[in-house]
Amino acid sequence: MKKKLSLIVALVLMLSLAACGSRSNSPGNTPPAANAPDTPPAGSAADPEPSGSAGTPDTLPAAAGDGGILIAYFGVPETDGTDTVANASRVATEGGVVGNCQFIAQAIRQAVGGDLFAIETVQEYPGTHQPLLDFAYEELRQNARPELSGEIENLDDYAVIFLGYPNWNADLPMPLYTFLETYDFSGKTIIPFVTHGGSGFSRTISTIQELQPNAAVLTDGLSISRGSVPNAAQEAMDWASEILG
Amino acid sequence: MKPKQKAKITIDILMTALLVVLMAYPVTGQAVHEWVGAGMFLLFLAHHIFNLYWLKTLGKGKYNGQRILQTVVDALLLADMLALMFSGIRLSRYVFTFLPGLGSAAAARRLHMLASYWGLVLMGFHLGLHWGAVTAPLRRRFGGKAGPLPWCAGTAAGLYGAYAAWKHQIWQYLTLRSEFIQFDFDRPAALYFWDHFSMMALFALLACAIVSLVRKHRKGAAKP
Ligand SMILES: Cc1cc2nc3c(=O)[nH]c(=O)nc-3n(C[C@H](O)[C@H](O)[C@H](O)COP(=O)(O)O)c2cc1C
Repeated sequence: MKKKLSLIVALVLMLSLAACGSRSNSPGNTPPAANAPDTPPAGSAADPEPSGSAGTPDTLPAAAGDGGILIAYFGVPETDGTDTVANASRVATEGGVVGNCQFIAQAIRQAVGGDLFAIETVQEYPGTHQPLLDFAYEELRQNARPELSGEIENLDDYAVIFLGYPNWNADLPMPLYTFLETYDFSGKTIIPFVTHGGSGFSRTISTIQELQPNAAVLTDGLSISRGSVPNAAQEAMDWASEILG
Repeated sequence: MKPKQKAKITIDILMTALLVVLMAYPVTGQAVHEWVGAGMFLLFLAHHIFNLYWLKTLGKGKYNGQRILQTVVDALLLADMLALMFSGIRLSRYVFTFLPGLGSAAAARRLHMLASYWGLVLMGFHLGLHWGAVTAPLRRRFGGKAGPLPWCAGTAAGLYGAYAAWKHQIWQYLTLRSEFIQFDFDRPAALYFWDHFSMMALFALLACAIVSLVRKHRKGAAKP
């Protein structure tokens, strides 16, 4: 009895909040980009299945007619914490210990071929969790553009770019900003994949779209939680094959 | 309703709404989160100015069960809000960038995560424990014309809140076992607001229940 009309406040709140909520779009609700081609570009369909294991070296010569796909990824495998169990940032494979994004990138390459490209910076990131978190947060706060150390050769050869990165503070790692501002992917298709600790892509796909307005960016990229990365190779392979038809 | 009462209750409603918006950080993104957080800070100050008698009468009068509970929760909530403010300012990338970033951002991030979910719990309790006082002017204004509807709505929201607390596994945040926000992008964003609002309703309802239990206990003890 005593709480009677007062709970109208609650009702009013509910309604106002529902109205508030419906205005904001979930990034996950956006359908795949309408301008993304649904057929793979010529050249990639004829890709032979690479015979290498998941530990294929990052530098493969782009064979003629095999240049359709680039798989670029960034990642900073942390050297502390327990390996290959949930929440680690690296995976033990036959070819050695690799980072989460590297692991997924290699699986994608196994499924659809193409060239792997590791996005690397001139500066070295701290290898342990806490210092890395601190370092990355300062970089983000300062909106830094860390200098990249490698370069993509023959960018013109690629029509499809798989782009993999870890979710860092609900955003792209800053080297990804440098990367996306350095190259012009106009007319190409960008297919994002992310590894994360729970937040999925956050809003990074729209950020990629903003940085590459003339590229077709696939909005339903592959998102793998770091705990399930070691078991996600098959999923990544299926996903990549399905996208390229 | 007197203008002062109107202002007070408006501030309380706004704070409740802003808390829910703040909890929806994965939906709103950083910039909105920071501005809403700054707004919450101003409301927080106003709320304290309007309720200064709390501090003035802190050591005075008798402390019964309900008052002890209120005081403990209020003090915890105050500490929690201060922790959120300081860690939030440390993490700021838009609003408070003119301030130097002292200390570890990673530690601030962790504190902010921990205090945010405890804030939701404590704010619910705070609301529930002071429900009578907060809503007194409304009840005087509207009398008993609403029937059982508000109660039913509150209970329904609380029940849904229990489901939401389980679905979001909030104990993972309350115990710092989850370092990052778990966000399901396949779920409509609007539900994220509603989930957190109803969790607050759940804790408010629990507090209301505890208050009435304490009252009954006191009446029972006073009888013989
Ligand atoms: C600096 C830093 C910030 C991170 N921020 C988030 C985050 O906001 N949300 C999230 O879900 N995971 C976050 N993570 C977890 C990483 O996304 C996850 O560990 C990822 O799988 C690492 O991939 P890698 O081994 O290829 O670097 C963060 C990790 C680091 C190192």
